[in-house]
Amino acid sequence: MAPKFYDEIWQQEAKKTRVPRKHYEEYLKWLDRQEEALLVNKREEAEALFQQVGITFSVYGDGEGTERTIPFDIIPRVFPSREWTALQRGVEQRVRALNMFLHDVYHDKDMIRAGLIPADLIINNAQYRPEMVGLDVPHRTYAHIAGIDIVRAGKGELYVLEDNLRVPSGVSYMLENRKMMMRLFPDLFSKIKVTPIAHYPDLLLETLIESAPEGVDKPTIVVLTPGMYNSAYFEHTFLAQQMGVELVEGKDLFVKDDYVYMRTTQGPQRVDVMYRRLDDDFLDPDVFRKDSALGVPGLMRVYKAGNLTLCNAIGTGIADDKSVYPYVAEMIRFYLGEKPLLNNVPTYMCRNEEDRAYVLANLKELVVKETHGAGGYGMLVGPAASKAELATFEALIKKDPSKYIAQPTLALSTCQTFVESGIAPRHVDLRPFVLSGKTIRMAAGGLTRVALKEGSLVVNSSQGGGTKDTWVINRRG
Amino acid sequence: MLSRTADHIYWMSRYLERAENTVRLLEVCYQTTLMTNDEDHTDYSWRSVLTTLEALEHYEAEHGTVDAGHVIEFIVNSKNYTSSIVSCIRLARENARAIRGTVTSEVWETINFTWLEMNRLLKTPLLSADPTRFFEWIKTRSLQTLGAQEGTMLRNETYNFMRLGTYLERADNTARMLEIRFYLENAADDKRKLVTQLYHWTAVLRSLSGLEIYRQVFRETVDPKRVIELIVLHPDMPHSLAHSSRELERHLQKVRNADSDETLRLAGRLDADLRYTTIDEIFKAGLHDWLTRYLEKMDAIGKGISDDFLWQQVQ
Repeated sequence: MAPKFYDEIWQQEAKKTRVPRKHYEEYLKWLDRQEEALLVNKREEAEALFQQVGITFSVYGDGEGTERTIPFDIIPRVFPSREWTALQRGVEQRVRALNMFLHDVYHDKDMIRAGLIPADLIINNAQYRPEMVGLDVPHRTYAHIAGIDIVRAGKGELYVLEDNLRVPSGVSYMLENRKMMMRLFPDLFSKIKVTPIAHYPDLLLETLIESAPEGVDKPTIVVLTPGMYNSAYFEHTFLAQQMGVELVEGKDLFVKDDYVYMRTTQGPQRVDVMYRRLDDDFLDPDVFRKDSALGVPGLMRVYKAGNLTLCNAIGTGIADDKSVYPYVAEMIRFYLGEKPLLNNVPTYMCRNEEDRAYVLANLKELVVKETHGAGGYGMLVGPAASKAELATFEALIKKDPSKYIAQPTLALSTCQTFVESGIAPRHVDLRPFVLSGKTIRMAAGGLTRVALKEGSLVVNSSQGGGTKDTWVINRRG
Repeated sequence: MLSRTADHIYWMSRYLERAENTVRLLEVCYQTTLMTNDEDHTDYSWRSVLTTLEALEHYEAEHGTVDAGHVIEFIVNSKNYTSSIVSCIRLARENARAIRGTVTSEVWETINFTWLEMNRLLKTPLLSADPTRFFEWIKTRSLQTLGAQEGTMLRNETYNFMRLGTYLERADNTARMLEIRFYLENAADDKRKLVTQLYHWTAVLRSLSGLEIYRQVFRETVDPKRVIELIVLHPDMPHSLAHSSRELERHLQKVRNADSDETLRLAGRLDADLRYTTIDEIFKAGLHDWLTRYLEKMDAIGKGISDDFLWQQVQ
């Protein structure tokens, strides 16, 4: 019987002998020589080091401010460079089109006028920000930092599962996982040449610098965090430190005469570029949520006056909304005149009657997602759901169909993972990060997330997922 | 530097310094009371420690009677007493975590490890079985943190605010140490009184890492006046008031801004005071009164630093 899932390491081969894929040969040779006890030690060492270095995330809804580490798996996810190059071209193409789409929906709306995307899907979408209409941003770049979630399914094809264009996180784990692997297994890296990724913070800094408002020569850049109880606080401090810029909270900032300043020990200092890790809703209590204590009153005024670049721009959520996702291929054709390089997952939009009927009739086979949801919340995995859960979603879809989309349950690829019971296959995905300023930049890697529970397809850390180091290697010969 | 960042750095250092000085105090009291079987005496010493730490009322509300085990447990482990060792390390770590990107990873990891390991140690019987080892451990961790700061930090504003926190706290703690009473002074005859005094001042010196320094500087037996001279006026003794005041003024000069002239004036004047005062003048004024005034001046400087540089919640 053929294996049910595409495996990242083992080819689907004849009955008895397993044949590794070429780009895993070197690694497996090395792995074969390691004692299991040593691997157990290394896994414990990794956990202790993550604790000690404080690479932790805060758990939501826990008043104590409990911090946990994200489980780290010591078996890497490997891409041969040729496949990586193709993937990189695909995600770059996608992000270019998405940025053009964002400019378009907040300006001339050509794509809507061409009848290629329904107007009401955009204009009536909660993610659409009328405040952004007609506002020009440097280089017409809206999504400076994009995290594109990629899965492998079927016979090995890559699919884009979703685009994250608001405040995608995880890049610090991409970098720390590599550091950890090099610390735990230095000999491995002397044998296998893995493409380095440690320059990502430099790429990010270059992107932020060139995104400064026009006429600002040496921009002052800051990272805006909601604060130390945010689950991604480690990442915020990490990126600010790596780039050598201030990590600020809303209360460190104030607006005066259409400029935004931070309070320093030497008096106010003007801020030109803000890499904000705070959702639109919280940025400016004068314009968005009035109860937000995390933002800066008047920020939107500064932004509209062109005296501040926000990375990402306000209103990017309209391009990564799950109801807009089915139109990305069309965006690529429309704006770039190119053929999409990466597949989209077929998507049923419950707002369409025909699709809805299909979804309701086949709920057990489908994955249902909230159009505005994120982080694996508000999601139904049909094949794994109980009768009650299915009934709940049926009612939810009927009540508010436009809030949901559905996709076939993908047979996500698996990768060998060192779990309690030994080495076993677990489902994985990948989030590469695409940086856009004047030009596009990427590091050769991403964050591989792994569902540690046997059979589980949900890789989110909030739902028991772990991470792996992701390698891009040049195969010899 | 962000005012809020400066605030976190300053308090991180203050809590670390406070934790170290508190365990020094506990250690010396513990050692001293081991040398006697006199219950009144033991009770008196621990009460004096609680008074010095401004914790007596709080302690009595929780425990009532004073005994070594409970006092140590309270001062180390109480979650409610904000200057307990656990609270100090937790707050130091929390402040460090808020600005972990501003200090070097060595500094952050040293503090984080202290916190993680302290929590582990306190789940073992170590504190009740061998308090000295626990005190020593905290002291060593504090010295390691200072070492990590000295060895890895760029000499910039961050470093200056760290040292402002350290020396302001140290000056305060040292001045309070001079008021502590380890021994009952109702000794029957002069000879015993002398012996008692000797033990007392030796203990004070030890708690300030000063006994060895005293021997080097004076090369004679422990004499109360000389001890006070060393602790108050010697500019090169790391825990002396003169040293703390001098360092405070020096680091304040480096971070000066448009608002800080008055605070600098206060710090400069206090520094000059300690440079040019003699021990006889202090004794003439009365040590207690002199120390009270010193603490008031330190308070004013601390408030000045807060107002001029640190984070103020803006309405």
